[in-house]
Amino acid sequence: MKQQEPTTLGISRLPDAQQRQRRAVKRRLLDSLWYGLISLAGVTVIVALLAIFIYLMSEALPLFKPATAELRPLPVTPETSLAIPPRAVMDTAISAEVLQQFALPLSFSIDFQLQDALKRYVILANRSGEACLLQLSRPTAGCIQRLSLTDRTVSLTAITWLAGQQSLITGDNSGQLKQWFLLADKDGQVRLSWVKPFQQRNAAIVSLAAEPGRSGFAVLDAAGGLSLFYSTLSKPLWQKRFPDMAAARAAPDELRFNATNDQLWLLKQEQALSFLAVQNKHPEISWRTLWQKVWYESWQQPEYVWQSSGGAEFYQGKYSLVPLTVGTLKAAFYAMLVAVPLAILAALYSVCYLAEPLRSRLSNLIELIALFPTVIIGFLAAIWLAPALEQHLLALLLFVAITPLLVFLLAKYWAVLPAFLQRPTGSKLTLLLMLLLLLLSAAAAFGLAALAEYYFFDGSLQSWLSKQGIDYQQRNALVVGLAMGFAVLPVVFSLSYDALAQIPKQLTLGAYALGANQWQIVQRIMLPVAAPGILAAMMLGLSRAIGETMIILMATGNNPITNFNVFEGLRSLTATLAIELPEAAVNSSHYRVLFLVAILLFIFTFTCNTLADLVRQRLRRNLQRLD
Amino acid sequence: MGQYSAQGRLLYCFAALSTAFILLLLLLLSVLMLSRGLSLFWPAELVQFRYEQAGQSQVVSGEVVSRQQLSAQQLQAAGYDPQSLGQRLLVKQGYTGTAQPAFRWYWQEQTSEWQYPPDLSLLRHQQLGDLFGVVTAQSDSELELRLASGRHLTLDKADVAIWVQPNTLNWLSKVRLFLVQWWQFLSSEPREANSAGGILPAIIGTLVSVMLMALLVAPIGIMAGIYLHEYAKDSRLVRLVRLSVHNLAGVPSVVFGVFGLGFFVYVLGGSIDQLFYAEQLPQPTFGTPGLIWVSLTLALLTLPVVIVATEEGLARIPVALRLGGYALGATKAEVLRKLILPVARPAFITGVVLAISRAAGEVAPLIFVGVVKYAPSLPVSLEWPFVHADQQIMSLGFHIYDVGLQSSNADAAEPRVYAIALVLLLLIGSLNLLAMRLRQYYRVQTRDTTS
Repeated sequence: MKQQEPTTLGISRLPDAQQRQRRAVKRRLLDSLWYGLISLAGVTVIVALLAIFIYLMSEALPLFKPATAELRPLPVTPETSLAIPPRAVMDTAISAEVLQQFALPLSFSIDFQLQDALKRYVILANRSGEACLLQLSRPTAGCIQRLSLTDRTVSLTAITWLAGQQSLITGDNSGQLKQWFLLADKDGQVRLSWVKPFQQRNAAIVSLAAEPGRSGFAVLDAAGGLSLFYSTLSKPLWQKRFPDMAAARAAPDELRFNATNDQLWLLKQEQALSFLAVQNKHPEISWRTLWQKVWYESWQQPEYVWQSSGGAEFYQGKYSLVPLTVGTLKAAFYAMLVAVPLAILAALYSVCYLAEPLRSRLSNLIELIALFPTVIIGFLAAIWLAPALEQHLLALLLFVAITPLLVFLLAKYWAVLPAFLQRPTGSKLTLLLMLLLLLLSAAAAFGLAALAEYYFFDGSLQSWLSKQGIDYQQRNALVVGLAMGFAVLPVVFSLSYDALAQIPKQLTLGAYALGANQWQIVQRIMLPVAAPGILAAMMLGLSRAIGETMIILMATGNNPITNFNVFEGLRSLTATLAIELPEAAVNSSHYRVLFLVAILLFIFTFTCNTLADLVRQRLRRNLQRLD
Repeated sequence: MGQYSAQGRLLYCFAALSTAFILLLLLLLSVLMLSRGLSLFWPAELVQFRYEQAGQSQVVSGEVVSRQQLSAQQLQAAGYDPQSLGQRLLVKQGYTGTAQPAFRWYWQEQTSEWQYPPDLSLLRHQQLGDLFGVVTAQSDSELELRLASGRHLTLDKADVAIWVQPNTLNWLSKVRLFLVQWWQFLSSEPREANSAGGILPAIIGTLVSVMLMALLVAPIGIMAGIYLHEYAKDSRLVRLVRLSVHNLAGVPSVVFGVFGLGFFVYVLGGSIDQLFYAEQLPQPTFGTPGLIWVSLTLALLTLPVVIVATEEGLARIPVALRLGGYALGATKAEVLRKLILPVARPAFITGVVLAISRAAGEVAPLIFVGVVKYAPSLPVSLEWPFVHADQQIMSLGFHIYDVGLQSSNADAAEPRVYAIALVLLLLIGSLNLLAMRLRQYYRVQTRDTTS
């Protein structure tokens, strides 16, 4: 700063004050500029981070948008985009000559006939609801199945294939709608079997129309009611009554969808009356299909299935989140089973028994594990651990059993140990002793495993297990549990370590002064006081395990099965994202379901972390009050 | 008392056991990584043996890669006689003819006449890969090589990158060969669907994407951290915001990848294409996965890391420093700029370095936004604009996944993955070491300011 020279009063002060004022204004301006700039950046970042969630929601929510349809009048001048869609190919009938070869029952009038996709079977039905299944390659056999499609008191009024020609929808004059599958029974004989009813309509069914390319259909009833259904849901997606339409002389008698399923045409004797503009983008997704068992076409019973793509032209996407969620939980469960005891005991050891330089060195060493990128751990699990485990599974199980046994023995005969090993608790020597014990136990496990496999398991545990009905896959939940447990371990360790180390010294010292021993202090003071912190550590570990992608992707077979068998693979939510999202067509149901999966992961881990954080903050406040 | 102390001893023993077990695992992992990673380029002894199978006899020469003892069960399942066979050897025999496998399994029991001929050479050819054989004649420009099968090959000397006779090497030349091979691994492009050659594009891809990410995340993250710590009022809302920003660090990275694909690539990239590259549509320029989206996704992913580190750094600054500044009449901006930021700078750098180290090991979110198996050209070049933000890149982490699990030639690819993993670990380890040093330096400095 320039030094002001003292000059005569009055004259020199005026510019000085002005200058100072100007400088002050400039400084204040700069100050507010900084404030504005930094606040702008900060708020933008915060809004952007929170917007992630909103964006993910905006991609997934259209899945649950209810279907809508709107009646539109026909344009006066014909437009090319508004032509009557042609009759679907699957409705073509077989010729009368072919039918004559069959020994049909007498007095069977054919009112409806349908042929399956491969042109091997024909279904004939009459108005009274009687149906007959014919196999085209065996004309002499006649009906291979005779059944009634209605309740005999009512008559059949409409019947149609759904897209793919594997399932039938029938409608009768009491308004009932039923779905039937062509399924092979135990002997391989194809039969038409009743699957489920749909919600009953108020009046007789006039016409049914299947959507091309997916398993939806539209229903027109005699009271002028129009409704849209999807084969996996028994309730209609959309319904509305047009009473004046039924009353009019020109009541429609046929429905037809266009190729993109956004127009539903009402026809009377091949003449268009009007059409509905349909908004029904994702009929196959609802909470029910995502979380409950669904009976899909050509499946023998309702199942939880995740099968997002298939080779067939008319393919029902099967999006049940149950196998994926179960897979995620299964992997996380086994990982936690490995990580939690090890991490908490190690944290307890370093806090309660180790002196300072060794203590922080040990914790730094264990936190080094967090540096291993999960892709490396996943690679080792898949390429090194999985084959090794396949060969030495029994040795691992024995190792897990023998080691605690040896520790029990060691603790029991502690007094027999030489004095220099006994006395200073928490010396490096104890660790070395334990290392020795581990090596010993590993050697014993390997030796015993070879013997046991030879004598008890006919030479191989895997083949013995498969004889017991337990399937052993090389990349299984056990491998994932071990690998991911190892990856989660440092998280649980360092947070438990923090929680235990925060306990004020005077608490433990006071207890010692009152005559408590180490065990009492750990059991009655350290663990109860640090319990919320340890719980938070476990929650964070769980959220890490649930969000982990690469290890699960690499070390499991990525097979979406719904069980908790430790020797079988799994498929998690995260791995599904990694595998399928790059291939999903933008804005398709599949794409949006994957966004929903991302939201589920986001919500779960975010809640878990926030809760853990709150618990930790509270613990810290409580402990500070003790100080 | 007696019972308590017995329990206490048991707890002590189990706690020590767990610690020892974790340390053992860490040791095992390090030894595994180091031994497998380093042994790949250590010149191995070459063997030659006679192999008899189904009445036919052939001479095989090469390098024994691994041995495997099959159980009687496995042998039976594969349709072999468990009595006569047991151990099998995986031999790297190199190029023996077109469409012949470079790696083959041989039954130990059916081999004989084991030799370690000193004149058996290892040649690395630009097109054919590794060759094992005896050099029978050579001129100025050509080599004649006799393979184990007796076939003669004439090779152009210019194509031969390495020519050694490993069985005669002393350890000094072995070390030299080891270093040369490492250097070639680090500085050349992959060949044969990533199962041979080097990893230069993956290293460059990782470095460029991570550096670009640091450029994006550093100013934004630090400003947001300063805002949260210095300017935001301590209201309930701000506390909530702070909590959620911190906990975003725990949201699975794959979710950020999903966001990156949906928002950055399709929405943002799609709009950029429509606005600026409309003439090239429907061929997308930015509306497809690429380097810029990789960096942006990584930046978003590591933003909470930088914000948290910045806030922690600011919280560590003694109040006296701040108050002293105010007492001299400085404005808030001046105190920040002249007093606080210089002292807290190492903390900011630590945050950015930690963010880089986290980003370098990340794979899952990048699968969606622009990391590929093989990128035909590097993302940096000498042509304007030097860094090609719309190009797809390779990265070390994804390379591990791809080469390790998706390679069609697993025997050749697998050992390489250990070396790649070692490079990645080295990168991450050194970044973390840097962060640790910085943090130490910073602690010393703040202590100096306080006292």
